[in-house]
Amino acid sequence: MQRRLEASIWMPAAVVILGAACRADAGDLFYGVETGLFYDNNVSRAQPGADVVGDSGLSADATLGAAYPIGEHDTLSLSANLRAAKFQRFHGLDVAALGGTLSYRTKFGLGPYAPRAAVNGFLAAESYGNSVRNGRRSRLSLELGRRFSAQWDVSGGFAADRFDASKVQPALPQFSRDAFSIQGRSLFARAEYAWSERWLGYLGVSARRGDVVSSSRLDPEILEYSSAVVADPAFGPGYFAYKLAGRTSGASFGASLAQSPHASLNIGLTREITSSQGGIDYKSTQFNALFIYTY
Amino acid sequence: MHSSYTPIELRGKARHTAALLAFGLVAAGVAAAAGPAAAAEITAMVKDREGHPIADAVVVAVPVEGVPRFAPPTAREIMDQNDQEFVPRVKPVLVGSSVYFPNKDNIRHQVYSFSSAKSFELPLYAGTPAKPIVFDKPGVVVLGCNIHDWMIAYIYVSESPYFAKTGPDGSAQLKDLPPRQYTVRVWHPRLQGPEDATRQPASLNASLRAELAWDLALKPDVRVRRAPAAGSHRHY
Repeated sequence: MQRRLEASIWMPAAVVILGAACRADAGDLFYGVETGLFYDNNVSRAQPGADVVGDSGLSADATLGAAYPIGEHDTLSLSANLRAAKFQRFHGLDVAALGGTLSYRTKFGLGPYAPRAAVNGFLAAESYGNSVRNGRRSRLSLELGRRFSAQWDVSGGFAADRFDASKVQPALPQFSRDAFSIQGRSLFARAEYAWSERWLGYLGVSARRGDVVSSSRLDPEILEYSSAVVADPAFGPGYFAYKLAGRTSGASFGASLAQSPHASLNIGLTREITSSQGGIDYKSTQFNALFIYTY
Repeated sequence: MHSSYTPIELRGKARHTAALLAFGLVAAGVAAAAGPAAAAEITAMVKDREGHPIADAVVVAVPVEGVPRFAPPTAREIMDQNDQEFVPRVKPVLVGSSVYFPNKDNIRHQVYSFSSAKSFELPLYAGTPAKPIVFDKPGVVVLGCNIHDWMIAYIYVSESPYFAKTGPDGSAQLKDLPPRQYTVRVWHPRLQGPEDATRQPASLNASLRAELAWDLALKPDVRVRRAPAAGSHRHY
């Protein structure tokens, strides 16, 4: 893994962290950590066949932030986030990311059942084991939600995401090599049901339209529909990452078991199906088990 | 636990004749010689249908002939906020009581109630608000925090000065009651059915002690979950 990130990538996240730290005295501090295991049966996002490879690993995530009330029902929060994932087989996918989130949240009234809305802006610098994947990730989302009872909570929203690769390879004639710079837009919804004080289950769906990256061995058919191609050594020699325009539908469900007011054990399963131009489709199933502590 | 309010007996108009005065003086002399009038007490035991003791149940004794007039409560009642929870979860107070809401956390809270017995809102604050909230109407006041949805507590505003809250063993003692007939009832946040359905008579005329027991049907304890969940929205 590349040990040092470019200063230009770190800068935005560092500003967010310093900003949060400097203003922490005026805000309500919050923090959280997440750590766990994951398994993805198609980390290469390849079409069904020999190029589909699965991998598992460990993940860790830490967040520190401060919230600032700016009105009777409005809160502005600023948080810094450090995330890392270590893969068992494909170390080129190992990642360390430092980012920040700026959120504006409002509640339309008093009480737990008042509808709520949030606008979140997220920016992170990501450093991968294979540096061709390094870059800056950003996401802007609008989320609406409402709790209908002590058991039911429903939310949904819209998000725009973007990833700008930091090491753009020089383009070849007729081919861009900026395969990892992608953007997309998505809709998402989630329902939670707490069937006891400790147990909570959730179901989520999402639909994304935009660029996707599929890695496989050289394939003229995929090449024909790709807007950019670059060698992807994360999966070994001869692998290429293809940027395609596609649609991804996702469904997820999971359960959470409270261990204390601040901690929980969580398991989740996500299934994604992507259809891209030229009938190039792939599927993936992701499992994770997480321990979460927040305050 | 029992109330510390001192009732003032209502007195009707009487015709003061010399004979009555003399009789009264004699009676007072006898009473003084015998010591102060003995106070009565009620021991209450509250359990659920499975026989488990119920903590945080409020036991209220109301004299059958009516609630005595009492001096305005002066005690400084406290409902803390500690580790993002209200402490205590259930607080019985006498009607007219002033309750302070100190925030002992290092984050802000926004305390509110929609209850008909007392509707109020304390805008987002840290520390202790200068003015207390006066609970001037009997009933149950459900408290919440608009930032931390899981925070919930109950202030039981009693019309009678004779009340107590059960401890972890499900028992409560109402002491220093004037000897007379009472109707005793129980309330709990999870009580299934009306509070009036729990009424029991207690006669403290002949005997100065009464032991009462309830086995209550409780609703499930359904609260907004506090613990974090993967992918769930954060409160900030």
